[in-house]
Amino acid sequence: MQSVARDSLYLSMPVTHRQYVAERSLNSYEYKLYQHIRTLYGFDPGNHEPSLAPVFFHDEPCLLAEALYEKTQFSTKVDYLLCCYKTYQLTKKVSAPLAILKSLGLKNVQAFALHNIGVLSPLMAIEWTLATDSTALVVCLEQIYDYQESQTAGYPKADALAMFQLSSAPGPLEICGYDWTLFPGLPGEDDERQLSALTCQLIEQQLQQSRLDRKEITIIAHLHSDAFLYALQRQFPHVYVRADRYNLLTADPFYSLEEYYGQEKKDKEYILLTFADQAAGVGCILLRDCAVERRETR
Amino acid sequence: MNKINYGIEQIAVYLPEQREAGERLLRAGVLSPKEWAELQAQRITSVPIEQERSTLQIMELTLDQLFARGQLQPQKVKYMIAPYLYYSFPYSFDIFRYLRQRYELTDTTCFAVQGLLCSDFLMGLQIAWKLLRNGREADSRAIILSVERCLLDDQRYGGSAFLTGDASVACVIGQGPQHDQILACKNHIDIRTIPAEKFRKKEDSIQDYAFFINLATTLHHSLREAGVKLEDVKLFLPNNTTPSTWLGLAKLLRVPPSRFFTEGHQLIGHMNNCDLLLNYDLACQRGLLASGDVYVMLSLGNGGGVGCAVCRKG
Repeated sequence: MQSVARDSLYLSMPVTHRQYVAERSLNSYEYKLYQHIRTLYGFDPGNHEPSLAPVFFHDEPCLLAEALYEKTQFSTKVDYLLCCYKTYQLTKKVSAPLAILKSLGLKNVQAFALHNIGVLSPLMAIEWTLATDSTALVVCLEQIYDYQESQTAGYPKADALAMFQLSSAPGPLEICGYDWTLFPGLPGEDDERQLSALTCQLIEQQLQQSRLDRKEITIIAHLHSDAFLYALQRQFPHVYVRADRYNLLTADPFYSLEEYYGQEKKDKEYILLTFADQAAGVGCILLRDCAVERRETR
Repeated sequence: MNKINYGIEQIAVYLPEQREAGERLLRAGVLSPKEWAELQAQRITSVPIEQERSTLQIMELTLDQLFARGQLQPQKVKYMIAPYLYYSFPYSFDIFRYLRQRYELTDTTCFAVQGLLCSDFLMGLQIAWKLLRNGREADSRAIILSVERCLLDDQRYGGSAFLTGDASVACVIGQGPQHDQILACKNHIDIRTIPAEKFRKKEDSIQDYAFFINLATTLHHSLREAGVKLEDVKLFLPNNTTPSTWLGLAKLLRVPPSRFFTEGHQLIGHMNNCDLLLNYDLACQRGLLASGDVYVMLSLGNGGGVGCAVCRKG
């Protein structure tokens, strides 16, 4: 586990965009390119009936960031705008980070995207923020290009947009530690089973190093698949599962976290966000709820 | 924790042997006759292109060079960072998992950096440099691996300014003997220069007064951090966008234009995030840099992202 020194990094309460529609077409040049790439790599476009499932935003996720940001009370004094995604952002804008930076009017802020590490890029955002002792506005955004792209062996994927800040200034959730495990070896049939095994192993390591008992922690499950959820629920007594059953990739744990805090008051001091990606690996972030009286368990 | 003395230990470049002539892009309607004539007037007639190998294969051909020298221990590589502009493999294909397996990079975390377009490479360099400096193990390494691959004809379009080809480059960041020390590395983006849409047409301006101001400011800040005077810089290695940008910057800085290495633009083409290491390789082959010389890598991306790295040749 990468432990984080006490009082050195805080996570704001995330905000998310949740208005979905069942149909939305893409006509950007990047979409044309991506369709070509899918063909080159042998992804069968299939002949799926259009889904009526509401998995799309009405516009590109990066174009919805401004409206979401206006609902927040984040500090404007940030050093970095870090975009995290698994799905490429096929935007008609110059790039997703620059489009968001411009729309938010953030001056003297460096923007860039972290990706191609499955759903684990928010962990890289933490790594960067700690390395630079900075404040970052993190935007996790996912774009599902079409119905075919939504389908997975687990829960279907959907568009996503979540926003939060990482800062050394005290906030509602203190980051106590984080870690990730990348899959060893080449992709194989065993990946799905390994996914839950590696996640449970990572959680146990976090608990052990933080001297916490399973009962003392709420685990926010990444909505990957039924099998993944059952595996976590079998091993840990307090697992929070969002109701919608969509996999929101890099943004998924933050949608759950926002929802978890929207419910009745919570008494668990520690919360653990899990990240699960069948291609890349697994990760977690251990949080301490600063509203709950510290029990000096660490 | 070692805060100092990280630098570029070694580099590897892969340029395909085959070149694509601009005539074909003219016939395909990607270039207008006027644009083609203007490219020819600048002696830009073809660029290296990859027709046989996959993106993964050209990345492997690049990394093979780093590992074949026997100096790089896979278990010491903490990060592999990939700054690139053009998508050339699906996000669902975990290309790094194959690379980690092939090179036994069991403790390496791999991810891509994007968003600053042709200035992503120096953002990747800054990230590697900062993460290593903040790390606990002084002998850790990072690999920066860029691959640029055009899969559609119009990705090669640079109007009458340049043609874009295919390439892959890599470098190792570490503290090995005789490395090129990174004295400073900064990136900057000015929201005033970010366009509303992507540049796709000839008539869209790619010269903007603010670009020059931002380039000069970022350069001065970087030199100050590096403790180097402008006149002590032996060579400026810019990316291969438009030579007029760099000659304009030379004029603004009152630096002889000959100190800006702009030959790569004509010889290689604009390979997006591969330009800087390709140009560095060319400059070294020509003996333009000697041990102890200070050189500066500069990049300007579509959207106005500016990158600057001040290095001392090992």
